[in-house]
Amino acid sequence: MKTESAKREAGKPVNGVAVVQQDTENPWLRLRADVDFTRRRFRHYEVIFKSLTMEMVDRQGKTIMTFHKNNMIDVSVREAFGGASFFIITGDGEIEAARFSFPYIEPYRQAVPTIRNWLAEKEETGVLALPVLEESSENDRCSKCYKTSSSSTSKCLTCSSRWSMLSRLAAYCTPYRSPMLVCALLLVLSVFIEVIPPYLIKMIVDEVAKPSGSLNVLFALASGLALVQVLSAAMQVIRSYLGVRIGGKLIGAIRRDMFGALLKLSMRFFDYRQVSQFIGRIQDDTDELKEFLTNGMVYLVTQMLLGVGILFMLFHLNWQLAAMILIPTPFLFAGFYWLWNRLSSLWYSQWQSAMHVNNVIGEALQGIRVIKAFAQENAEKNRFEKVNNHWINRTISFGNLWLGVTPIFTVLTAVFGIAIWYLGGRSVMSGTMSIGTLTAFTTYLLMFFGPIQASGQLLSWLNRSLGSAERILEIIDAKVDVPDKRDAVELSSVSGEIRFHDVRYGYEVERPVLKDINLTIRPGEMIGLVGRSGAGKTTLINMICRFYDPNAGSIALDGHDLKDIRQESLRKHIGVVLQETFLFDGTIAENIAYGRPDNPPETIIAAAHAANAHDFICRLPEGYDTRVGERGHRLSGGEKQRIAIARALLLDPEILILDEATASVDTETERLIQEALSRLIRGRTTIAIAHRLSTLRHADRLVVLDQGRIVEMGTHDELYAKQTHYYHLVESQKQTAKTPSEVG
Amino acid sequence: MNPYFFLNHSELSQIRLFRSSDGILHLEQEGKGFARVTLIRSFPYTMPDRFISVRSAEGHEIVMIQDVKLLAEDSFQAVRYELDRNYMIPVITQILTVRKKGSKWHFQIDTNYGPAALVMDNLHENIQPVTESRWMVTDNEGRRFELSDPEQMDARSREHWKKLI
Ligand SMILES: Nc1ncnc2c1ncn2[C@@H]1O[C@H](COP(=O)(O)OP(=O)(O)OP(=O)(O)O)[C@@H](O)[C@H]1O
Ligand SMILES: [Mg+2]
Repeated sequence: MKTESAKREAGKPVNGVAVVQQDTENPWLRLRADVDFTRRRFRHYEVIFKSLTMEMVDRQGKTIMTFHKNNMIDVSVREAFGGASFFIITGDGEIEAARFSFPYIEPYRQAVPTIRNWLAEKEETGVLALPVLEESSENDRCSKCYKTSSSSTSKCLTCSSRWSMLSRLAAYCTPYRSPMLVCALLLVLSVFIEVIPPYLIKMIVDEVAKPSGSLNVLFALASGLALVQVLSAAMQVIRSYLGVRIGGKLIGAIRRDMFGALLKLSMRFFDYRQVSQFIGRIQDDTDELKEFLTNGMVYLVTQMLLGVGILFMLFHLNWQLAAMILIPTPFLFAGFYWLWNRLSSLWYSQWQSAMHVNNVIGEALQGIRVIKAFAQENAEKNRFEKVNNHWINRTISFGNLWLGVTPIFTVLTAVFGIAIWYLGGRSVMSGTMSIGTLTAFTTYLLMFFGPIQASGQLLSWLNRSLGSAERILEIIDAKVDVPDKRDAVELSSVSGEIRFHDVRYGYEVERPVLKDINLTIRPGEMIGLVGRSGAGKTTLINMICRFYDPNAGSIALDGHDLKDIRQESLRKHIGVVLQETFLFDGTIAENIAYGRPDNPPETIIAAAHAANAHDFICRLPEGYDTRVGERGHRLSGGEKQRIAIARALLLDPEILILDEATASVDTETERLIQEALSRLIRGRTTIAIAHRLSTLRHADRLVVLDQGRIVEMGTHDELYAKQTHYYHLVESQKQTAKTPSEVG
Repeated sequence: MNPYFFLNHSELSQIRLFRSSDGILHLEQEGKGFARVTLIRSFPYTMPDRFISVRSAEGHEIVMIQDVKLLAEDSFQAVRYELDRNYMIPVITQILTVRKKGSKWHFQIDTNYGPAALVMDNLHENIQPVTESRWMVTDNEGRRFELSDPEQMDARSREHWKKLI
């Protein structure tokens, strides 16, 4: 690394002798970095801290740069897009000491306080009382292979191979063990039976060709042939019957698990994904898998058994001829291998294009009002056209693959068949083989080509199903970012004290949204959360609901860390009215009673009353039975919000969270709701967010957030008198209120 | 256009950005000086060198640089350095190998930061389109890479890419 003059300045005081002496000493902290910032290249090196120095050491153990503790005043981590830098502040200015990408950011952040303590310590004290920091937490590692498990799945996939995946899927079949066993048995039997007819035919032909052939034997053989056909048909019926039954239940179980897994996933999972895709995925992927687990598996096993059975018969009839079959085998396997890889990428990209089509449809439907309002139907059509064409192209290239593969198979098998006819015929002519044997042999051979030809399709089937299985497990195994601990406690009643301790959180690690939040909310207190848009208010209440876990610090309810409380139990005590209300498909009454479906109508009406929703509901012709949600009656923004308030009130929670609960109602309605709320807030811990600051005047305390930090706290009068942040917010609101155009 | 923050060419060549010896970025404009200014790309992917917002230490926009090429040479260098630090998303220049091991995808790529190896759980979530011909690739560790205009890559990379997306 090239050093600038400032860096050299800072590195100087450590003379050669000192460095050697230092080198033998154990560092108390090692931090890894991966970007060489002077050359803008990836390069692995370490920042290590010893008792008196901080050094940058490359992979070979060579020291690149050394800073003496005395020259360092402070350190800091500066986030960038995609990574961060570690800065040292010296008397001469700021020096970048290391640059690193995303995975290394958090260790630096966590180390900063410790490094500051180290810098604050007097050099003479000598003995270091600093804890040796662990660079990465152990719980991220897989218990089997000790590799760091990936970010998005809870299972370590390094040690889970395809086969273990198959075995997990097979676990779904466990409840149907006995019918499946019957199936398998029938399968083996039917394969066995299927191999019989050509042999019987051989015997018939030989019997007929024999001068001494007997009619009785012929009759017996013919009836045997008939019986075999009947038996085989009967078994086919039983097998299909069982297959359909098992398959239906199986797919139900997988679909149920997938949906359950989706609901269990944390908010974070959904923040970064187009949700419409899951509708298609739950349906198509499970269907695909079911097809395979029932029909496909049966088909695969039958064909394999049949192949083996026929091969046995072929060798039994004439091993010299049969041995010829082995000649093309290696080519076949090579072909299969090539096909397999090709199929795998083709299926996957086809699946992806299908998903993109789904996403475009889903998005268009969700935003249909906006599309119409902006007259963008054509633009959306074009967008759809594009993804649709992509899908079509994928399907075509798939077809092309078969187009290329099928003739090769057909020609090869035909040529092979002809060769057998020729060689076999010669043997018959030379008298070393009977006509019956030749007939049987060629029949078997034709039968044998069946499984071979099917194998291409089978490979494709297997491939596609494995892909589906993989993606189903991707959801079922997706890591829950906010998992319930095994020993998490159930809170039966709470008093409602919420304590934030040094909380930091960012939706993306390199961009913290909440910083150094320290806040204690007393039981029964009403907190007004104010701040500019994007200050982090909603994020703060998301943390209380534990939709996300803090990156650093902790949040406690009644002294229990939120991580130690069962989420279901935690959220039972929290009633929320969110910024965006969502009504489910159902009646208004059902929507109000969403958290508690067994509520009597009296309490539902009482809650609606309190939320000032009763009157407008009564004005609807169908009253509380009006269907709302996806289909059915649409409510205005303010009406929806009041239903949401009623929903929260009915829950009778100890903690009430109101995020812009009164944003979309007129001032008169707001006054009424305020009134209702003030009655209900009594005795509950309430956290209310409102842009209309007048709404929060009665709050016990106002917390002012600015760019993710708490900048002020106090009552309205206190903060207003201080004439800083809150005062400015209030004043600017007064200003806009005075402007006539804004009021109208 | 708001003439307040879009500068004309001569005005642009008048402003000066430089790093003082203590490593802090300064802006000088019409005799006024601002210390600890930060630079923000308005279009980090599509127009990385255009529309650079220069912000004061408090986060207020001071000027908007339409195009860094219009700056004087020393300012240009200072801006370059600062932007490099603020935006460290490597750009994929080549896809060397693509392999699927188990259910994971292993990529060997070359970037403008040098070669790198990526492991991804899947492609449908880890490779996301940003614009028409630009993708953001996120590996399992959360590292991000940009892939722009696959047509510009060499034949082998294009071949790999075509099979993926
Ligand atoms: N799901 C998310 N993923 C990524 N970033 C987010 C997400 N939600 C919010 N943010 C970002 O976090 C910051 C704080 O957002 P938040 O919703 O907490 O603001 P707010 O104070 O509630 O604003 P408002 O008053 O407009 O509701 C914003 O910069 C926003 O862009
Ligand atoms: Mg909000």
